[in-house]
Amino acid sequence: MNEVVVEARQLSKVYVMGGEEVRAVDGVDLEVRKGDFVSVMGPSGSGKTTLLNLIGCIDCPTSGAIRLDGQDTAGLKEVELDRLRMRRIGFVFQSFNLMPIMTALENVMFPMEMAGVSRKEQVKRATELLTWVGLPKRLHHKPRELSAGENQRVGIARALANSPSILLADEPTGNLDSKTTKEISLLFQRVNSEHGMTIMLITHNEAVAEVASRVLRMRDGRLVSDA
Amino acid sequence: MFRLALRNLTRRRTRTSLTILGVAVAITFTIGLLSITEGFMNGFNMNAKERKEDIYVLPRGARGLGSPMLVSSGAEFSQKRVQDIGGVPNVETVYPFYTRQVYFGDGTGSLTESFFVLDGVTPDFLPDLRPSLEVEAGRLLEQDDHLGVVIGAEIARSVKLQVDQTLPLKVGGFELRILGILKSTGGLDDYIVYAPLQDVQLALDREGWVTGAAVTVKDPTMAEETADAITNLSSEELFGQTSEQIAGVVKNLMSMARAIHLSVASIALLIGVLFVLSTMLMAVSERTKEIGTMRAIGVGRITIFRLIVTESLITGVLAGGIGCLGGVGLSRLITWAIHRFAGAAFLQAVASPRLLGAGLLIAVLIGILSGLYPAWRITKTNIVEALRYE
Repeated sequence: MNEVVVEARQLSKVYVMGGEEVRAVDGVDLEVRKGDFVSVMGPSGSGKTTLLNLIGCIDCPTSGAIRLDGQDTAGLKEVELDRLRMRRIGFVFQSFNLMPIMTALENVMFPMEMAGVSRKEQVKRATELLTWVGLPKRLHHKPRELSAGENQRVGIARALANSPSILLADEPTGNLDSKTTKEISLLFQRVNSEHGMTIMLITHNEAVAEVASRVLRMRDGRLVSDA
Repeated sequence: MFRLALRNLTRRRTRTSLTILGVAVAITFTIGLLSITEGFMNGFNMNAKERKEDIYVLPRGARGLGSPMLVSSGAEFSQKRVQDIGGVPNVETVYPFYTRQVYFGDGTGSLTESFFVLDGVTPDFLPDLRPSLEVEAGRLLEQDDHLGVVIGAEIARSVKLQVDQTLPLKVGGFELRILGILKSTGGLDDYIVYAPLQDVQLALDREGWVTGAAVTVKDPTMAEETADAITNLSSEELFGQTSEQIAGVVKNLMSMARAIHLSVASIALLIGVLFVLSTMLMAVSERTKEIGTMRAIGVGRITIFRLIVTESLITGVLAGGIGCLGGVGLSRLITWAIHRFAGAAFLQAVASPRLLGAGLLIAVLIGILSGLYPAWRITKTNIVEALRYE
């Protein structure tokens, strides 16, 4: 049995909007084990992104607990949460969120630079990762010089830069055409199978969800199925 | 960090350049304004140190005049009073003088076309009261000199004059021959033409009249009382003022000028701060999503804060550097304008290293201060909200 990477217990996030409580995430219990490839599906407003943000420690739960690699995140100070995100979590965004002034190589080097990795090691690893995602000839191109699919490949390489425990991807194919969506889905599958990377990926696309080994479905902030 | 900050600034080159230019103009303006008082004070201080007279006796109409050997109010008193002054207790020696501003014009509109100061003095004036003045060429005035002058180094340099040449200036139809050229002092003496008192009086048709007298006293601690005693000789006609009192008047005037200049400069600098602040707020606001991404991948608030402040600091330093260069240029322009339009070659605006250092420091402060609020604001933004920002 693989070790648990993410463990959520009675996780809730309640917003107050217009004087009314909105339970974006409502008492979710979840375990994600090392090497799992989990896709999260559900209609808009079902709480998928909020759940991912809570697991990614960029949002705080109203109640409940999250353990990442066995570490309870509840009592952590902000700088400890920053360090945890830097070392253990890789984010992939729908609109790529690359730094426009940096080349593909520099974008991938950036998290390593912030983590204090030597420049030589940064260049080596960033080059390897970009080659691995299929962009060996695009290292020195800036995001505006790359296609949407290429930008997302850079985004995935950046998320892998600091060898995190889990990759959290929020609709990573949401801005891509169907052909590129398929390519990126297969890339995630490779990341999971070849790197043994634990992945949690939000999608509306059944075809994307199919590449995952496990599909969670959410509705009204609750997990309604786990298969 | 520095590299990233620098690259962030180059994203919108026009905006960054305009911001730097805006602050640089404020710094240039500040240095330019303050260089006027700085230059005047430098000149005055340098001059004051070299002077040995304890009291100036001036005509009644010249009250409040700052520098009696440089500026003539046109008022005079009778030379007969010199003897009376000599009789006042504690007075050691009296040196009467006749000061008039004169115009050197070569008709070219160049820097040499300026007003200089013609000081008619007795032969013992320079050795007794300006002992530090040395001749570069020729000699000082002597007892029987007639229509001969000793000129300051800057006059000789700018008008290209040598000993034995005639001064390109006719006073009352008389030609004045150059007997000596003084060594440069860097002060106001570089712009003075010293001539025998009787020649100046004769040339200006003012025989028997003086515009003032320099007085030395036996006991300097009693200078003020002596000055009062001189005033009491004929308070309708003249008054005595100690060198310290005159220095005080000049310093007060300069302090007032400096205060006015500082007020104007403060407004310019405030505009500079607001300018950079608005640019930084805009720049940071545009990058909200990017900064949210940085925070999501683990970059701490302090690092983001430092990044933004570094960006505004670089803006300040660059603006300060350009502003200092501009300040030096502006002070030269002011000096040129004073010479050309006010005709006062002995007045200079000086952008001293101290002033330039202050200008650079102010620019750095503008940079830091204008970066603090945008940096604080962006680091307070919630990561989730920042990531949603469009």
